[in-house]
Amino acid sequence: MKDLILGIHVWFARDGATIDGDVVDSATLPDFATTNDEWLQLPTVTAFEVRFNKQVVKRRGPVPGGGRFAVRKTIPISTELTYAFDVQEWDKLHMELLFGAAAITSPSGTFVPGTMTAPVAGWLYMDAFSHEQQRIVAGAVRAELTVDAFKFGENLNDHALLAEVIVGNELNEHTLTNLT
Amino acid sequence: MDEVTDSVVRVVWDPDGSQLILVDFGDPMWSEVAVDGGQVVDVAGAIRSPGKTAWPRGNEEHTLTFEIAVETAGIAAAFEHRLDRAIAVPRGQADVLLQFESGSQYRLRRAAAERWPHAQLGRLARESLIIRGGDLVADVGTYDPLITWGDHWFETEEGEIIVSEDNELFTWI
Repeated sequence: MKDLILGIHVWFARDGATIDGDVVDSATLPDFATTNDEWLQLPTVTAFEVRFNKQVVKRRGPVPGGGRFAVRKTIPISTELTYAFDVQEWDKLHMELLFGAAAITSPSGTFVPGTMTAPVAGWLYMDAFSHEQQRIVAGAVRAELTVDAFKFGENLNDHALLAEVIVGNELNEHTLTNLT
Repeated sequence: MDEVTDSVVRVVWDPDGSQLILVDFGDPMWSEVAVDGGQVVDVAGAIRSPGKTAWPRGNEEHTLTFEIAVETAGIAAAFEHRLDRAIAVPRGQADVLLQFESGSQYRLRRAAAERWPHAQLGRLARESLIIRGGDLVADVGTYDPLITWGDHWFETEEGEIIVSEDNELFTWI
């Protein structure tokens, strides 16, 4: 069975926002099922890439017969996980990340470019569906968001939204469904 | 890419006494065991000589170095292991034996541990030992070392025993 993940919907609960009466932070994950209308829904995602990188130390030993070494095992030292989304449209959050603004004043829309000092952190909820509209993977992770450099032009190129997953957070959880 | 390689040589401290294994066959090494040597040379010139003359003066000196890797249960455990090994570095003077699986053996005579720097990468400890010694000779003795570095505790050169105050960790050899 071949499953394509085609539909990715992403929401973001930013640190400091109040959702369901609670202030969001690294230890407070709002329940998405009951509060999703208070999360910020991010623009249309056209592609999604999971990048799981491990730093390993390779242990090499002499091969019987001698004369050369071969890998006997790898010893994992650290891991990192990035979700990379290709996104079509721009919203205030993406512009804030692109310009590196510390904040965007609402409703006037004024901001000071290049003043961002702290990463934009929060909870990223992802809901990914197959081509048959079956839910494949869903769940929330703690993440810090960045937007790659982007050149505006007379085209419809996507821009890259990168979510560095804070792997150490104990509330991170995804659920797989409809897979054998 | 970091990598460690299995040792092809065994290093035994004091083969005639405590027979402490510093490096065993197959131990993962950040840096393999190395023995660099040298001797004292005097170079003297004579009046209008076409070239100077070098005089070997003996006093051979060898430096044995290695960096061993130890996989531990966690990052704190790695640090503890490093400190355990630092305490357990033999402080006295002894010979050091190099053994190969082929059966050949080499002996570094009148050696002493000079420095024991250590570090770690995550839970993988990196424990180095720099041993200064005298001359290097072939050896044909039979040895059966059983004790591993860090499992036992040692005296200083003055005979003081390096142990915790409650003596719990102390094992006499």
